Amino acid sequence: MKKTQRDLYTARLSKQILDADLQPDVGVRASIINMFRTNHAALAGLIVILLIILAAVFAPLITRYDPNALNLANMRKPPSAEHWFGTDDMGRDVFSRVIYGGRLSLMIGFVPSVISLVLGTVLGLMAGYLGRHVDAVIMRLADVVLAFPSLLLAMVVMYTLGSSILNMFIALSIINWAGTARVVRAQTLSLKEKEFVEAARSMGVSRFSIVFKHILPNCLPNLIVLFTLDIPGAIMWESSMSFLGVGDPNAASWGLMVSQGKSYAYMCPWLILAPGLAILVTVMAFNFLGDGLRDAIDPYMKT
Amino acid sequence: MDNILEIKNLITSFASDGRKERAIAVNGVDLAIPRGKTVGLVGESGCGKSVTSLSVTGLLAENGRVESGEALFQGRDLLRLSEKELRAIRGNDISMIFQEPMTSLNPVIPVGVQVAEAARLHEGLDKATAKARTVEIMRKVGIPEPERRYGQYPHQLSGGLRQRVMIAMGMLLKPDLLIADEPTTALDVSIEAQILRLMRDLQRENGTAILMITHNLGVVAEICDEVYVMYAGEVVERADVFTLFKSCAHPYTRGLMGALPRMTPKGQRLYNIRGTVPNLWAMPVGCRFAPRCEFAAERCHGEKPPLLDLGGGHLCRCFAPRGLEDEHHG
Amino acid sequence: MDELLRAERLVKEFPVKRGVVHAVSDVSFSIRKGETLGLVGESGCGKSTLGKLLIDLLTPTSGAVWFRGEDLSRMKGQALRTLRRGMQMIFQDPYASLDPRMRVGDIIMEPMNAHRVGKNRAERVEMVRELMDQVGIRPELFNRYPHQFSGGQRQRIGIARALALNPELVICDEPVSALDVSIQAQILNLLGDLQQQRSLTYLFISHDLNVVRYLSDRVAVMFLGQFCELSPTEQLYAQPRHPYTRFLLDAVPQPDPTLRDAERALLVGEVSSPVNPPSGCRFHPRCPYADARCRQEKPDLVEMAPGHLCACHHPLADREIL
Repeated sequence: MKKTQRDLYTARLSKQILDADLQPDVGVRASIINMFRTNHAALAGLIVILLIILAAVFAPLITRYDPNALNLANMRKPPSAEHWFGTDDMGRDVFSRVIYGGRLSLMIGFVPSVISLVLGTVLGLMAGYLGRHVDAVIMRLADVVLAFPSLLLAMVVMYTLGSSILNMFIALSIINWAGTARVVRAQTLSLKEKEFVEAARSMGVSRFSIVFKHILPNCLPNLIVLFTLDIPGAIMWESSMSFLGVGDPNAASWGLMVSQGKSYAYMCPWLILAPGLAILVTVMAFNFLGDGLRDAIDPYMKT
Repeated sequence: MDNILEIKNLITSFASDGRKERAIAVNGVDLAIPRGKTVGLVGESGCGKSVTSLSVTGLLAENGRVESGEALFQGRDLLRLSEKELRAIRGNDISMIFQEPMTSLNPVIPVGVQVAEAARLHEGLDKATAKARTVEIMRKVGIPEPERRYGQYPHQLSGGLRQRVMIAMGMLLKPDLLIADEPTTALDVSIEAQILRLMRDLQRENGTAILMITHNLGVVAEICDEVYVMYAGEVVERADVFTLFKSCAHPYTRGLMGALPRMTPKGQRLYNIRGTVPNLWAMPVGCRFAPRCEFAAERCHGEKPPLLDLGGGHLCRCFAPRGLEDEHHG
Repeated sequence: MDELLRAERLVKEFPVKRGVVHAVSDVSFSIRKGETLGLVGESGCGKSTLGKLLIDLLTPTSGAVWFRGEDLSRMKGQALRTLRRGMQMIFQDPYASLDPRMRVGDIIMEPMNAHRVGKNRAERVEMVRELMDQVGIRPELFNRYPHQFSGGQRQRIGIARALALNPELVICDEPVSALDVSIQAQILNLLGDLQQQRSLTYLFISHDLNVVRYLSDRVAVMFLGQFCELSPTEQLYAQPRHPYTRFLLDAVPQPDPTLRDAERALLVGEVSSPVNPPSGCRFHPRCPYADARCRQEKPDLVEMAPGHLCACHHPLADREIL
């Protein structure tokens, strides 16, 4: 077909209009930034988390005392200018112990969450995309895990494997993966039916590519939210277990500190208040952040 | 003239996340619906046709706001009424049907009960009579086995049947005005034809005026007496239906007609209105259609054309309305 | 004319809780090289399922699809992949058919990656940019995400993706039904231009009889999983033989108010369910001509006039008014 002068003009004009008409980028990233602007709890959560991480990393720079240095002359002293959070029953500086304990508690928050995230994602993708027998096996396994009370299951694992920090990671990973797998499976099932996945199949894109290029990236926003909410969960479980005496007795996490301080709860309340507050603040910060992220991501996931 | 609804200079704005200024979705619309007639409001998505009806009936989403104007219905300005008064009017004098009737039906109450409830509230009937009336009317709108359908929930009915339930409700209430927002868009053509016929029956029987909001010029030709064409929040043309289809004057309306595959022989290119509808936040200064108009002159880009009367109530918002003799395809 | 694709007694059944959905029941036809075959029918008639069977997105319960003279069901591995490259699909929903997390350039490039087209990424990027230009999207927008584009623009992206492997047959599944009239015209013109430039063959699936009439050389009318009529376009619209086709044509609201009071036949009743389709001719419960034979015996597609097939025991005579 021969192009007339008008066709050329039309083409030029429509290109200009097409250009002017592009919608602004309001992807996940922009929506998250916007969320931090309006949701101050989430912003506060983010800042607190960053501070806690910084404190844990630079612990030697912000504490004056060795967390394990005994000072029997200075036992069970209440908070003072010298010892901000007081001292414990062996004269150790509670502030230093809380800061150093933060290293451990954060690790306990992160490591099992990463393991269960990876495990749950892989299993969830397999169950959702492969379906049939794979799905049945993985999901029944998840049902079993979810049917047990989490704390009981974790304690059984700890009793069987022995009390060490490594086994704590294993126990916490075991109780968390099933939830992630379920979410990922459900999302995979719905994404699998989407037209863009169908389009990829019609073009001869391999299964592997479809899972990793289409399904996983579309699960990612939800996984980030899950991950942020898994961390405080793990910290809580570890604290509970340490309090109940099935934690690693040599790992001075916040939970263990609360547990050890409980005998002096009336006489020296700072012994449980300091680590207890640390747990509370950390868990709340992660929850605020996770809730904010979920709100920011949810509307985007719907469109 | 005796108008059941008269909208004057309606301006409606919307707030959007992350933007300071509000977007003007409806910019000074005048529209009159004569008693017992069907008025079409046509335009493409985002032109403000639905917002116009939602503004008048007080059903705007939370971020929407009527900035000014009036909407006279039975001597009262709907825009100044309280939520309670509006609800009473919507229940009795104005009925509405939407593209997806699912949203207007309560999902946990059987459809028949919902219609009967409306009958009881409206006519003060007792339960048994209301049920009998409902079944009778459901049969009348062509719902097969109305006794069985009476007890079914909305999700158990097909889209066509749900739309018929909404029309049954409309017939029962005998409203003065029926606002139908794309009522057949989600339906198959054979069901669409049935629904359109039903709406005409409803009108003939009760003298109901209809505001038909649609993007489908075929539906307009089928059922409307008068037509308003909207573009980017403004009415750009108004005419009776025969005039509009015989000699529309605005370049946009002509473009829409030319873009219809029905009007173009095979092998010949369809008329292209180039580009897309302007962004609500970046409206052209002069004529809003000018950037897409192939006849736009310098004046069109700087000055907004008024709604000119071409005679006989044929209004057109253009400095150089196309006359009858002008060829369609430029 | 050369036959490009042939469907042979295609059947697709989906088991559901209450029985079996007979989505496609014994459909045979062929598509000729270079033509546009329109496929019309109302929702639930099985036209989309048929399209997916042809392109191997669904496996037929029985029957076969022949493409370029090869039986798809008898092919495997690389040979099947190579053959399949010649058939691509354009999808209905421009919002759901593009992955929201991928850049549009990568979306168009995906089929090239899957089939290892081009020497390297740079070469593929160049090809994508060329395609974008052809469908009217500025190549500079390579790195934008789908949500930044309007519906019409996204459909252009979907078209570019379908053309990335240089197919011979493109199955268009309601490609314009989600678009406004003026945008629909742009896309239809684009599809027409591309057909000329690349000598494409189209199967155009749509519920819009006006669009199908404008675009198609031949039209097939589908009802509850079966073809009831297949004919050259103008002949079908001027002289429908199957009562269902006639009803369908009469039901379309035409953009001409002078026709509004014309005598027209309106179909009554609701669409029957494909779960337990009626016996014999599936249209018989709604057909004014149905008799005992229609209730028992399934009519075959019979040639009424050259190229005009109709499956009806009582086809309409010339210019018959219902």
